[in-house]
Amino acid sequence: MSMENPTGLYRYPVTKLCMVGTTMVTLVASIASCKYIFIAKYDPFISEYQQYFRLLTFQLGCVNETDMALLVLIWYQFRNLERLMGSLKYISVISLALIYTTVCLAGLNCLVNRILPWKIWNGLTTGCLPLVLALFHFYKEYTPQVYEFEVLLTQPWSQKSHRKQYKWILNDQFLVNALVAILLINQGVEGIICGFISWIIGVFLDKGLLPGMDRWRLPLMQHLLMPKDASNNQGVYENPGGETSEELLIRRDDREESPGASNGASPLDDENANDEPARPLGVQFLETFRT
Amino acid sequence: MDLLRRAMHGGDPPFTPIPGSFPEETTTIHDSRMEGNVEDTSSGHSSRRNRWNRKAILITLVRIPFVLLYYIMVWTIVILSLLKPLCNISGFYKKKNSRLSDPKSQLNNLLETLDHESQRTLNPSVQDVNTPTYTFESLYSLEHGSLAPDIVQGGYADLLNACSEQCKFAIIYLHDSLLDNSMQYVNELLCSEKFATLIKKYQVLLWFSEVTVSEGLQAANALKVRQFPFLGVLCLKAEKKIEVIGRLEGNLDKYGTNALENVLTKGHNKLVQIRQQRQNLALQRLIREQQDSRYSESLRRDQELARQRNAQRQAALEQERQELLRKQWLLWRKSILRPEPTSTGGSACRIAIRTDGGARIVRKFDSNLTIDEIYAYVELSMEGLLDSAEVNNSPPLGYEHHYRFLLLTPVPRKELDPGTTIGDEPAIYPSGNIVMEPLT
Repeated sequence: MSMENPTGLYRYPVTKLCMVGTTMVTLVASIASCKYIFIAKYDPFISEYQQYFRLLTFQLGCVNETDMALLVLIWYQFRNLERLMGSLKYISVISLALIYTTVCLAGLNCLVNRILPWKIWNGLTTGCLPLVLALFHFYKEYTPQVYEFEVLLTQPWSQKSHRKQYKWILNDQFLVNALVAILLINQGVEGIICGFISWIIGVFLDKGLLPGMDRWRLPLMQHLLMPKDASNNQGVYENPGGETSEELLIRRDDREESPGASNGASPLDDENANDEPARPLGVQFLETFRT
Repeated sequence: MDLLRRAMHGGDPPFTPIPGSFPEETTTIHDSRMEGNVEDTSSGHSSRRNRWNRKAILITLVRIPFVLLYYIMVWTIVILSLLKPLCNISGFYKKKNSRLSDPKSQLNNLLETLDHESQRTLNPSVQDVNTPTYTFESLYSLEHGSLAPDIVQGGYADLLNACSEQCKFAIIYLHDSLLDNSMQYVNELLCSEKFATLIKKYQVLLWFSEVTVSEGLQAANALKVRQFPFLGVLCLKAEKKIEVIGRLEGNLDKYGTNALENVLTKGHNKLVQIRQQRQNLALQRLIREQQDSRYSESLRRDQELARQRNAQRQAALEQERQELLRKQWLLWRKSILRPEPTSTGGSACRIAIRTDGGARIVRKFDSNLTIDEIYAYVELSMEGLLDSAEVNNSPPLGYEHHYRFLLLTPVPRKELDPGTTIGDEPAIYPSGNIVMEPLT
C-alpha cells in the first residue's frame, strides 16, 4: 500500500503554478539582473531611500537559488494541501496568506525598527518563506501522521553492555520538517524571525483570528482553474446512460485503449500496471538461455 | 554491526564479565606460567610486545573513521535537538491525532459530524429539487439507521477482508471537511433515494472515513485519490484481489446521474461470476469431502470384516488345539484307568449308567476309587476311545480337563462330585443307577 500522495502534478494546477512561478520569477530576475528588488533591508533601503515597494516585493522571488530549490521541493510536498482544500480554496488561502504575511511582516519590521534603536531585525527574508511557513501550519494541522521510525546510534568502541544510545524518532513528515528547518536556517536570524511570525499568522488564519478563510475566494480563478479540469471529463460524464460514460470510471489494469482513457483523463498510475506477468521458475530459467 | 564491533575488538566476541567472578585465578595462572618460563620471557617478551603494538596500531587505525563518524552524527543530533521548539511544535500537532485512535469511535464521531453538517447545510423550508429524500441520520446512524448493518465498523483492512470474504461490493466515502462544498456528496448522493436503493439492491458494504485521520489518509493514498471528496467502488477482481471499479472524485456535477448505477450494474455480472466460481469451488470441496468420508467408511468396514475373519480363524485354531489336547488327555486317562474288578467282593460296586443318547452301560468299579473314575470311564466310552489302540503315557502340559456332562443319581436327584470316593456315596454303593446329563 503506497503511503505517499499520488506522484505528479496532474489535477494540482495551483501547486504547479507555485512551483513554476517560484522558479521562473527567480530565473527571470536573475537573467534580467533585477534580483535587487527582492531584498528588503530596513537600513538603508527603507530608512534612507524610502523604497517602500521593497516591502511588497520581498516575497515574490528568491535571491538565493538554494532557497528556490527548497521552496520548490516544499511546494511539491504541499500538494496534499491542494488535494485537501481543492484548487480554488487553496489559491485563495495562498493569496490571503500572502497578503497577511506581507502586511504583517512589513508592518512589524517597520514598527520594530522605528521603536528599537538597535538593528536586530534589519531585513526581511527573500522568497516566499513567510507564505510557506503560514501554509506549514495548515499542512501539519490537517495531515495526520501515517508512520514513524526510530534511528538508533550507539558508541562504536565501548564494550560496556549498557552503553549510551542515541535514539531519534522520525515520522513520515520528517522530509517536510527538515526542508522547512533548512529553509529557516538558510536565511539566518531573519529567516527564523520571519518564519515564526508567519507560522503564527498561519495559526491565526486557521483559527479565525485573522478573518477571511471562509469568505475570501479569488473571483476569476474559478473559471481559470475549473474549465480546463472539467473539459476533460464533461463530454464523457454528462452522457447519461451512454456506453462511454462508465468506460472512464473503470480503471483498467491491462491498459487497454478505452475510448475514455485516450481522451486524456487521469494518467493511469497503477502500481501493478507495469509489472510483468508472473512467470514460473522453469520459464524464467528457459528464457535465460533463449537468444 | 556486531561484525564491525568484533573486527574492532580484535576478533573477540564481546562479553560482559559476571560480577563476583574470580579475577585472581587468571593472574595466578599467569604467574605460574611466568615462573616456569622465566628464562624464555626475556627473549620472547620483545617479540610479543612488537606483535601487540602492531595489532594496537591496526585497531586504532580501523577505529578512527568510526569514531569520527560517530562524533559527527552525535554532533548533528545534538545540534538538531537544540531545535526543541520545533519538536514542541510537532507535539502540538500530535495531540489532536492521538485523541481518537479507536476506529469505531472515530467512525461514530464522523457520522455525527456529518449528520450535524447535513442538517445545517440543508434548509428544510425550501423544497429544492436537490433536497434528498432521507436525512443522513435515518440512513447511516449506527443505532437505528436503515443502512447501518452495511457499514463496516473497522479499519480499511477490515473492509477489504469483509469485501473479499462476503464477495460483495464495497463503497468507500472519504470525507474532507476543508472543502467549500464538502457536504455535496452527502446531501446530493449519499442521502438520495437512488443511492439507498442501490445499496440495498446490491448489498454494498459501506466504509466512511475522513481524510484528516491517519486511516483515511492511508486509504486515500492507496487509492491514489487526487481530489476530494472521494467515493470509490471496490470489487473483487479475482480470488484475493480487489480493484477499484469506479470512482467519483471532486465536484459531483460533472458525473452523470446514474454513473454509479452503471458501474455497479457492470461490475455485478463479474461479481456474480466470482460468486459462482466460489460456489463451484465450495461444491467441489464438499463433494471431495463426501467422497473421502465414504471411502474412509468403506475402508473401516473392510478392516472390521478382516479383523472378524481373523478372530474366527484364531478361535477355530484354538478350538482345534484344545480338541487335540483333550484327546491326548483322554488317552492318558485311559492308560491309568483301572480295569473292571472281576470279583463281586465287598470292594466292587456295580453301577448302571444311562447315557445321554439312551444307551445303558453297566460296569463294576472299585469302591476305593473316586467318582472321577466313573466320569472318565463314561467320557472314554462316549468318545469311543476304550477300544482304540492309541496310547499316551503323559498328560498334556498346561491342560486342565473339564467334563462336558454331569453324572446324577435319579432318585433322589443328586449331582455326583468327582472328588468323592465311590464307597462313601450311599446312592451308588454298593450298586446304583446314574443318569448322564450333558452340560449345555
